[in-house]
Amino acid sequence: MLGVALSLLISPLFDGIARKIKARVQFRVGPPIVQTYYDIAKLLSLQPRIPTKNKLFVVAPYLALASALASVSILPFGKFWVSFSWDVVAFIYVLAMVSVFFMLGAFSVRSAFSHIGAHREMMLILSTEPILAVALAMLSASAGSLKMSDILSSPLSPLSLLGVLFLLYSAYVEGSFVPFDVAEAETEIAGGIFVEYSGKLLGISLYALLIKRFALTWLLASILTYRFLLGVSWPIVLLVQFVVSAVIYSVFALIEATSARLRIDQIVSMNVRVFFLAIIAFIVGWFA
Amino acid sequence: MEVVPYLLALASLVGFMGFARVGLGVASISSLIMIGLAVRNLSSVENYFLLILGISSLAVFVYSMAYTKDKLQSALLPLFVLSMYGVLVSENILLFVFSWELMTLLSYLFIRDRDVGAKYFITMHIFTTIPLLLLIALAPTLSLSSLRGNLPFLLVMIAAMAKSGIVPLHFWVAETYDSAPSNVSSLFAGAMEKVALFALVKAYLTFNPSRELGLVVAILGTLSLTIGTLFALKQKNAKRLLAYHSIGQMGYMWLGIGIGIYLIPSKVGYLALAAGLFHALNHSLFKGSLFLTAGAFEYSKGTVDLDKLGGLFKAMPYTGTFALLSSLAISGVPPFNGFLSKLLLYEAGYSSGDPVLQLATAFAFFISAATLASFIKFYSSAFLGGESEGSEVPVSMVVGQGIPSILCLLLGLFPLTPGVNPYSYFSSPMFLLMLAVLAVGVLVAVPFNGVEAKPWNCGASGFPEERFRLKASSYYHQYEEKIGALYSLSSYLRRAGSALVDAMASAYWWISKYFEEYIDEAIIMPVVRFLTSLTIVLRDFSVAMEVTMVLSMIILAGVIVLLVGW
Repeated sequence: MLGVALSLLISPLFDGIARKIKARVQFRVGPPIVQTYYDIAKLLSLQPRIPTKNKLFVVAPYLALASALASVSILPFGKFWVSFSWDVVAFIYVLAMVSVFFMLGAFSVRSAFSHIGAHREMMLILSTEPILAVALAMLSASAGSLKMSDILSSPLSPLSLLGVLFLLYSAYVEGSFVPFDVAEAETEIAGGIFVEYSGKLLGISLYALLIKRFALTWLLASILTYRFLLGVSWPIVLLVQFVVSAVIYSVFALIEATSARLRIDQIVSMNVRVFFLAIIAFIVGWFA
Repeated sequence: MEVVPYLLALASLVGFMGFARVGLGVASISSLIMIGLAVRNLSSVENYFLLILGISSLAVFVYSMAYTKDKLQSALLPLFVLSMYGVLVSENILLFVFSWELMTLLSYLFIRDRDVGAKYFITMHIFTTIPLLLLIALAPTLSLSSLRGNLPFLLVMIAAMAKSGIVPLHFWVAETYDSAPSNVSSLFAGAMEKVALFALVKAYLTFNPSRELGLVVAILGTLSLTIGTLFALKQKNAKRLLAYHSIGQMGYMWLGIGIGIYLIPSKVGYLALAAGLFHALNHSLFKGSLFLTAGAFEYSKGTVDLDKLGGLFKAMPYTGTFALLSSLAISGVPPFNGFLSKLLLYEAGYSSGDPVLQLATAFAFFISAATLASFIKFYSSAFLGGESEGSEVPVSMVVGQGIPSILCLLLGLFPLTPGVNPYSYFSSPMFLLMLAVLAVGVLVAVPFNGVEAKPWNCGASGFPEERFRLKASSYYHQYEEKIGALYSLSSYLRRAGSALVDAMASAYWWISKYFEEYIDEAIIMPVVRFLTSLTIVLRDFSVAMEVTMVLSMIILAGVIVLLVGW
């Protein structure tokens, strides 16, 4: 529950920091760091418009937010709290549920833009999962199991370093950071999967997206720092995780500010090439 | 006392006499008895597969009460299930092969298209009958447990490969499943494939082959899950899509069993075997239900072309809900059963310590995303995206779909994995509770009161509204372009396989013509002519035909009942 509360509190802050960094890089003043809190509060006070009688449209954002929060509970916040699983695979699947609900909600409206956005989201997942799968193979091969605690605390080896590298790439793509934000492409397809969402439902959907990004960043921060902090008391570990994930998020923001969005077919071919690279890296890393 | 075969034979007889619904009702009772017998001891492999057969046949029997308009078909369905029951329970090798052949023959009778059916039957003859007859030749006594070693296992493996549609013997699956009526396809995917898998597992347990064959099984499984699912992405015919997915998911089961064969007696090996078997149970549930949904499309809209379907959720809410449950289950969304069996498989594969198996598991992980893609496409192009005309299917068809779909959710929460505790990896009841609490919590915190509106037409006011959606044939074409090389390689392999089968089929026809001209005419035809002359007393030819059919079916049923009851 600590993780759930923290993620609800901190993820808009991270987004605010990212927006400020992007603005500064582009020689603008930019919004205040707490702006995302104001945006979400404003959205959550507006009445939504509902363009379809299908209940799936309305239910999907709530389930997406619930899945994002549930996935956060698997991660360590200082230490591992009680959860329904301690498996990395379970984390990835529950996080993928966020996208599944977004897609189902988007398909439930008869709008070409939301269908295109959902279709692109699916192809993004489809082309990224192989890389994630090989990254997991690398990490679990060097740690000996798929448990989060084993993977986070095992000593470094060439295989696990490669795994972290490919995990970094997959987390960046899964989080829909620019240049991979084709699904909710704001100007190209008018918001993609979110085009028909408004008011409270849009606020909840955006919150779910922010928490998904936060979860991925927190996972990366944990993988980088946890193994060096075994035996340290948990509030300090929590603080270190917070600082490192803020740094990672800021680096992501820098990459975002200096990139343009890729087309979906460019993304797919890039991911296919990275996948073959990952397989070669796995074979090399295994025999190293 | 073997009640089940007697009841099924009786159901078939009643069906032949014209009372289709009553016959199917009797058959449903026998399925319930099968399930009851099976759950008494699930650690036995026979009982596990008996449970699979029981649930699958129950759903199809109930469904067929409203779906089947053909009297002959509803009479043959119980016999088909009886033949599969025979394969599951026989210890006698002759009965095993006889039941298997009967299963193939009866499945052939259901296929609507004659050419597809002939190709299926010949493929089965070459790749299942010949290996099984060689198995009989190898056996020192008539009991299955008298065989040992690698060669018998390989023979059964080839037969199981052909019957479950494992690459490279998968070329018959798509057309056959498309051409059979949907309730029969559901039985094919839900029960017949699993019976073939049972043969493989039983062969492993009885014949005790060497460990390395497990790697062969695992690699064949990996090839199947990749090729099957990636081909399924291209399909826009719902039944072909489901058929290719059957090939793919069968690959998952073979991968699990292969890892198990390779690594037993270590703990990981048992985990993998349990994962493979649990996935078999799960697959028969969700795939069985999905084929019945395709049948609902046929019944209600007359087509299974996903381009032509759309927006059916409002018209068919129950079918839509059950299809959603099954689609989420097959895509591996927690807390459904598909997720649990896949999780156990990944756990086993990734912890196996063997790089080949870990890479195979990485492919399995990737293909899980492809399965999700395919079923997002299946579900959204059939049920979502607007509202269209139509009506809900009859109650028995809804119940037939509902039984497996609801079991998908129940088995996800309370899995049936004898020997393995899945809750140590993922506690689905806790997950569902947490998800529900969070969702309800957010709903209470942010209740909404929406205003109805029309979706924005994206400025395209000149188009009719029905076209504002993505057609099924347009899905994923960018992805298919990028992996085009895989498709052309697989097409080449498929054509090579088909050419091989055609060549052997011609040889087969030539040999059988010889037998037909000389032996058939000399010995068998006189008996047939005698039987038909007995019925000449009846003036009406069609009545004579029916009487002959009933007579021969009674004799056949009696023979089966005597043999199985023994």
